[in-house]
Amino acid sequence: MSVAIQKVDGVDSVKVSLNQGRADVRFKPGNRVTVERILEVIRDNGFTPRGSEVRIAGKVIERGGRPALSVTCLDLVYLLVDHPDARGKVGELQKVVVGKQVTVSGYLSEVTKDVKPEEPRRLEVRDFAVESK
Amino acid sequence: MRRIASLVGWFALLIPGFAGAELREIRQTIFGMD
Repeated sequence: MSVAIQKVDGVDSVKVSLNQGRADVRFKPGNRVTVERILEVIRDNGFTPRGSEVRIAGKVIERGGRPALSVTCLDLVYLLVDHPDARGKVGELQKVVVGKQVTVSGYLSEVTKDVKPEEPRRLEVRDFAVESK
Repeated sequence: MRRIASLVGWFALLIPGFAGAELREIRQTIFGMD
């Protein structure tokens, strides 16, 4: 499976541990890879992906009064919500960095049947850092 | 020269995704063969 993931354009490095049930993937600068593309490769190889811990760079915007992360090059928006282990991070982020470019670390839960495809996915924020120019 | 560099910088900001909006890392939980 690691060979298949490595073939995705924009992937920098892959480490797969089937014993631990983990695939760690890093991406090259300027890539246009989506989380869904990686999950698709995992499924194509006969495995079932579950939740993803991710680090995504984008711009903090407001969507219906709620903070969201816009990944402009992919035309994607993630709604930012508190992670149970890092409560208050989203409020902090909304206060200081709306309109700024940030890197957000957090958790994307797996897509279940009750998640409507047209709704933006929820990214549970563990931490964030403002990008330096 | 400095003016050209400044112009390039401004145009770069106008290009979607140039500022590094992208996926950086995934640590993915996977389950065994279906």
